[in-house]
Amino acid sequence: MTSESEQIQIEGASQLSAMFDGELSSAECELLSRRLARDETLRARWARYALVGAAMRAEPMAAVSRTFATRVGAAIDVHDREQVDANASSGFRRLRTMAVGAALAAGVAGAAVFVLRNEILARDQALSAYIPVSQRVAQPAGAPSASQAASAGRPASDSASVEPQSYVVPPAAVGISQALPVSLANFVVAHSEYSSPLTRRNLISALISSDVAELAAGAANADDAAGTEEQRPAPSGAAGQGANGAR
Amino acid sequence: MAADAGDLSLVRRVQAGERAAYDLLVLKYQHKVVKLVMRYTRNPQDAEDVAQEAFIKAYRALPQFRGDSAFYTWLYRIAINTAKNALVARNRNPVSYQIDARDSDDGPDLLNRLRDPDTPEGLALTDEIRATVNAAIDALPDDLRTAIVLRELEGLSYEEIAASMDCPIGTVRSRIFRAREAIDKKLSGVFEGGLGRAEESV
Repeated sequence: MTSESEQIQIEGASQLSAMFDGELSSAECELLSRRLARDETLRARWARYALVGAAMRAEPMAAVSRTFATRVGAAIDVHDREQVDANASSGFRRLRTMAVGAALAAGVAGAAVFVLRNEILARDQALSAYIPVSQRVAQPAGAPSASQAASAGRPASDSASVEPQSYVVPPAAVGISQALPVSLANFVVAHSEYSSPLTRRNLISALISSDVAELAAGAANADDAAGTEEQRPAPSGAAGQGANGAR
Repeated sequence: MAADAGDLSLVRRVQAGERAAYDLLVLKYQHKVVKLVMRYTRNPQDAEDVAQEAFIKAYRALPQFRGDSAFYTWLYRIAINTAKNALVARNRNPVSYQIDARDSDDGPDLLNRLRDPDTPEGLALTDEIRATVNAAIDALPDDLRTAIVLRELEGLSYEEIAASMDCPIGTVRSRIFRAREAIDKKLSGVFEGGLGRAEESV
């Protein structure tokens, strides 16, 4: 007669033998694994089973200190803990790197927008000088600028009332508008990617109008050559004022 | 392949996150790995350190183990590489005998002893274990001896043994277990705790 505890132990050993051979069902394996984790006697039996097999096969084997497996297990536990810590810290590091990177990218993008905007404005101002005078928005020919009015020591409205009102567009300056449109067109096509859509549209429409004006100027020259005299309507000094108020 | 089924089952359990299953693999192969590594370190204590490192490396690499080869074959390669690396790190030659053993009076016996890094105690222990196991197997009844031999030496599965012995699988399981218990009883009576090296007192 064996006691109940002995019977359980024998059953456990029987299961252990089957598990050692990989012939135990996974459900039984799971239960036995839990038992093995806390039953040192069962673990020692497992080690002896391995020893029996190795001795039967005359495999080379060495004496190992009794705490070897325990030390390996402890070292693995330490390794697992370190890895968990490393994963946690690397996650934080990755997050911090991403935040710094995003801040840097935002800063660079902001600076680029600022610089480009200034460049575009400067280029637009430079380009406006090339717009044919005939295409500039005309101001009243006799209307002085506010600075002129101030320098004269009287209000601008007084000056306007004295001088005659004229809305005739000043004549195009000879020599400027003849060659520039081609170079301007090339410039606009080459650099249009940097200009704002509104500026691009204005420049292109100015170019188209410039061509039309050239055609008209050509026709007028032909008429002059034919002896047809026409009076120029505006004084030449108004052109400068018109240019100032073009944009 | 049946011999590897147990290892593969344990490996799958470790890969599923059951760390305790790896302890069983360590317990199963510790003697073989330490013996293997000792060929390089030639010092039992160093061999245990290197073997421990090899087991830890294997544990780390276990998620990549696909089971294309037997677990021990894979572990063997890791242990060999770890031992070689340890040797390089210590800037030592694996085989560098400082004396010419052939010139000595002991002749080939001394040469064999130098090649085998086991301590005399370790050698005696392994010899005694083998003798005890073989004696225990000889004393087994025929059916138990056949079952354990087919399992351990031939590497047959329980199903194959059952077919060979013309008996149910449950009977095979019982016979193998009883054979192991009989051998283990004699083994544990002679060597308490199995093939264990006493801890060095520091």
